[in-house]
Amino acid sequence: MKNIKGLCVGLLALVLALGSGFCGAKEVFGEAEGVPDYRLAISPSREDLGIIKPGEQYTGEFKVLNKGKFSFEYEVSFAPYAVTNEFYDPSFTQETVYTEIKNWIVVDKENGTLEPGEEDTISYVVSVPDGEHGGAQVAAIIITMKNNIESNGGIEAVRQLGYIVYGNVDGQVTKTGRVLENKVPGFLFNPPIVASSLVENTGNVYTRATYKLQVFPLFSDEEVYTNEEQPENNIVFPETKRYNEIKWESAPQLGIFKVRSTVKIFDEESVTEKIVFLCPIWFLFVVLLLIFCIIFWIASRAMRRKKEA
Amino acid sequence: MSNMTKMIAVLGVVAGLGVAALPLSSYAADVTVDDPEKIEHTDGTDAEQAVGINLTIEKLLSIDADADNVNLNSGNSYTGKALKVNVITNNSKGYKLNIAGTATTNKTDLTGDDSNTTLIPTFEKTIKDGLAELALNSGEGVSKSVWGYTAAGDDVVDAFAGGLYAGVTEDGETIATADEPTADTGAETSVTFKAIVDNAQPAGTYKGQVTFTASDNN
Repeated sequence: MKNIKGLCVGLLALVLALGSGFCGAKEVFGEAEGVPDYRLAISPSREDLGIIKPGEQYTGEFKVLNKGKFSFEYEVSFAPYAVTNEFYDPSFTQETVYTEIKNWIVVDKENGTLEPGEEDTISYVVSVPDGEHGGAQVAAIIITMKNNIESNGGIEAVRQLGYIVYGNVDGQVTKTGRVLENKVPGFLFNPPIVASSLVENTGNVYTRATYKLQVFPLFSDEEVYTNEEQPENNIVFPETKRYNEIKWESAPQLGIFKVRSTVKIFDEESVTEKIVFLCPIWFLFVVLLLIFCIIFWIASRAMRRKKEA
Repeated sequence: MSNMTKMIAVLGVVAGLGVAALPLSSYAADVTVDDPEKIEHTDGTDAEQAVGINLTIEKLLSIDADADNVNLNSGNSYTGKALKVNVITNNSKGYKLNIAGTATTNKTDLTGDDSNTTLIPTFEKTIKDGLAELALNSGEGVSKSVWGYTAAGDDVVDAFAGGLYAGVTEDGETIATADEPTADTGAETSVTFKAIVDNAQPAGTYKGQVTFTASDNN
């Protein structure tokens, strides 16, 4: 009797809990879940102009979108774009001979107001000056969302997006680069298999470095993984170094493989081939302990025989 | 059977079971696309109809934050509520999130409302040179008070590990980065601003400005 009572109470509690869960989930009409009050978006987010000639003009466009709940004002400005380290962290203040393009760009609209869901198309023209020196040029068109409330103290947080524009000015150009590092680790405790590299662009035009990874079983030439048909590539601006990692994410937990990493920048190519042991640390520990025990067992047997003799 | 032999047998079984349990065969299967099947008419002639399908996915980059302003008050030990900055991108190489000091007069300082000479300077530590716990300035002739920020999130740079603080710089520094597209809902970076105020700091309202810039990881 007690058991049946307890079961009934339990079932009732379950029904009440489920019921309140359903009743509590009230949907507010018109309020999209997860949409913030203010969200600034651009599409696309960069443009590769390719080869651009002195004295010529090049056009492009992008959209500024309001993906939030409330309207906002925005404004457009121009900034240099440079990289500060081998991980390609950007700087929007550092000016070099490669950032002059920021002065060549004009847009058809320098500010605007967007209601939720609205978008503006911004058209821009890049006018390359006559007699401009050859080499890469890169800049950012900055789209800043203006805050509605004036700050009365504390720290105001401004949000903006950078639309990156770059091209190679035709003229006296040098296309040289070096592969400074191309490494494959010999031992890994867990996947993925990672090959790392560092390239340097010693020329004055930007290029794309390519990265190929091929993985073979130890005693076979049949690839178990390759990105040969679609090698990874990274843009490398002049007078910069760029670090990269290329991975085989689906590598198994245990195995011995031949790994070949091929890195190329301009005409410089580096190939590294290595045998890679993939072994979880606990398994390695078990194997080492097993070997130790076998050695100890052999040694103790030998000593016992010696004693008996 | 001696104890040693038993131990060796056990370890051997464990090793063997371990190998058996590991997912050794995880190679991706080749994917092949067969030629479209031809449709045969009853009179024996072949017929096929190719249908093109176009799908355009636009590149998109967005940024949002859950507040326009962060207040630092004595009531909260001059530690602001964490500001959540969210970036969404479908760029295959991911994004970079940069923070810079952009106040109108003194770019990286908090400036008092009485004059431009009352300042709370930015923390001297930067991501490039190495971060530290936020601490009063020890230099002569400068305000001992200091302000800075720390960041947290899946994409935040390793320098902030352990809740260390940085000072904003005029040139800006990258505080978060990813090398692949974000989730549909974005990648969130939580930024906490804090000040340490010396007793000799003049009373008043201090203001500063930071700018978050998101861009493609090229």
